[in-house]
Amino acid sequence: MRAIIDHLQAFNPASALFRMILGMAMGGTIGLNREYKRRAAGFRTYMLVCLGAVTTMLLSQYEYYQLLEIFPEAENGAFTDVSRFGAQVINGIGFLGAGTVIVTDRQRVRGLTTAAGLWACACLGLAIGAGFYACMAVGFFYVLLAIRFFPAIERRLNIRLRNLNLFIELHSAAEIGQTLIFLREKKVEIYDVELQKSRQADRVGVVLTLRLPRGARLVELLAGLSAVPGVLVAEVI
Amino acid sequence: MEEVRKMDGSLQALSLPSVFLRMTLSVLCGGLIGMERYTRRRAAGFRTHILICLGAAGTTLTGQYLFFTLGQTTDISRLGAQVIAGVGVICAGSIILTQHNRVKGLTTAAGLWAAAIVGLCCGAGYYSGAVFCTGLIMAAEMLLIKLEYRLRNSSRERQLLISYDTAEALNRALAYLRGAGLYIVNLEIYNSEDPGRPSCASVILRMRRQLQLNELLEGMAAIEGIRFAQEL
Repeated sequence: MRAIIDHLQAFNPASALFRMILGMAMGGTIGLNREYKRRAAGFRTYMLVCLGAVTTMLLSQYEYYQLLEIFPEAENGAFTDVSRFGAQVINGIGFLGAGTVIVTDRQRVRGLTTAAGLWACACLGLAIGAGFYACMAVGFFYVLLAIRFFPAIERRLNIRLRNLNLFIELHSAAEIGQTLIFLREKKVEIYDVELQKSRQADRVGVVLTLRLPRGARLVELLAGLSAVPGVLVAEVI
Repeated sequence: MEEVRKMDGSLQALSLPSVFLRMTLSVLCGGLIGMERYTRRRAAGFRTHILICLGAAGTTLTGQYLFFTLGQTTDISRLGAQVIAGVGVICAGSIILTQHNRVKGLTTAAGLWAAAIVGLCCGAGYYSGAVFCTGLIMAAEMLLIKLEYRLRNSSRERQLLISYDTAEALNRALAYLRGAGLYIVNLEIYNSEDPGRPSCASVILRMRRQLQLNELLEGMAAIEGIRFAQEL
């Protein structure tokens, strides 16, 4: 057993294959959890990113040992830096992740968690490629925890939050007057109002940044808003 | 802090307990920063901050592993250095440019980036740095936001929304504002296509100190053809 572990910690074809498969398995498991939710980046995306990161690290190690073999006397000479390849992965996957972030026309940012998850996966992939299994094990545990179990905490927290962003749609900007009067009557603090033109010609969107008074119920507020004349859509974003 | 340092053991070992300690700290710090952003309903929440912080901790750990454990030629800060650029790119994606050329989400992006730096500190075993930085980020987000709102409220520029029936009515309203000696910084008009509905204009004014906004609004509402005037 000990011999097998030592073998996998060293750099050889068997350990390289093992690391690649381990990376794919880790990426696949995390990706599966995202796939359930029908996010942009699924199973294969995570797998490929992870495999790529593992292979990058393996490649730089291969080159390092290659140089040692050809120039054994230059053991301490800095011919190559083993982390140079890997470092660019961190930057590159940042770009990939940024591509998954969407800003909707209701000023809602989506896909940021996907981007962060993909990026964290690439970082762990580098650790696997280096044979740093302890880091991979702990990191994998926490990523899974964050992706799988923390949404429940977020949901529980949601009910008690007093700050919110509200998107409403009106026929004309003039009708926002009634909405503002309604909100001020309910003692809602209005931090910011942003009017925006809608794709439909006869509609105007408004993004409001609000803070509810203590003890106010969001559902009741929304119900009240829907009764305000002119409000076509009211949505928490 | 010295006890933690002893608990962490020697740097060369990078044993499972030490890796666990560093990564757990990164999850805690990231979670704390993210929790505050989440309660304000910003784009990047709890999980995003944790994932970024954790990933960053993984990079500095890997860098140290390559050098200390494997003994290979490397610059241990090279992997971590790219985090600073890479996370910047992800953060850039979360910044919103609105139709009015206003930028939103910049503070959240900056906070996410700072969380990545905290993650780097955690991964490197620089616990005191990580804890101090987290504390100061929290202080900046929680205390200074109030100061920012107060500053904004005392700003002399105010945005009014005027609802009116005809273009003449709007002209009268603007003339009234100029008559009060106010400077109109910006005017934006939302014409209604339907003649039965009133049109609307958003006006940004530079107020004079002596003037009461309420009196001004009442004065405007009295103008013929103006449906209402309100502060946004």
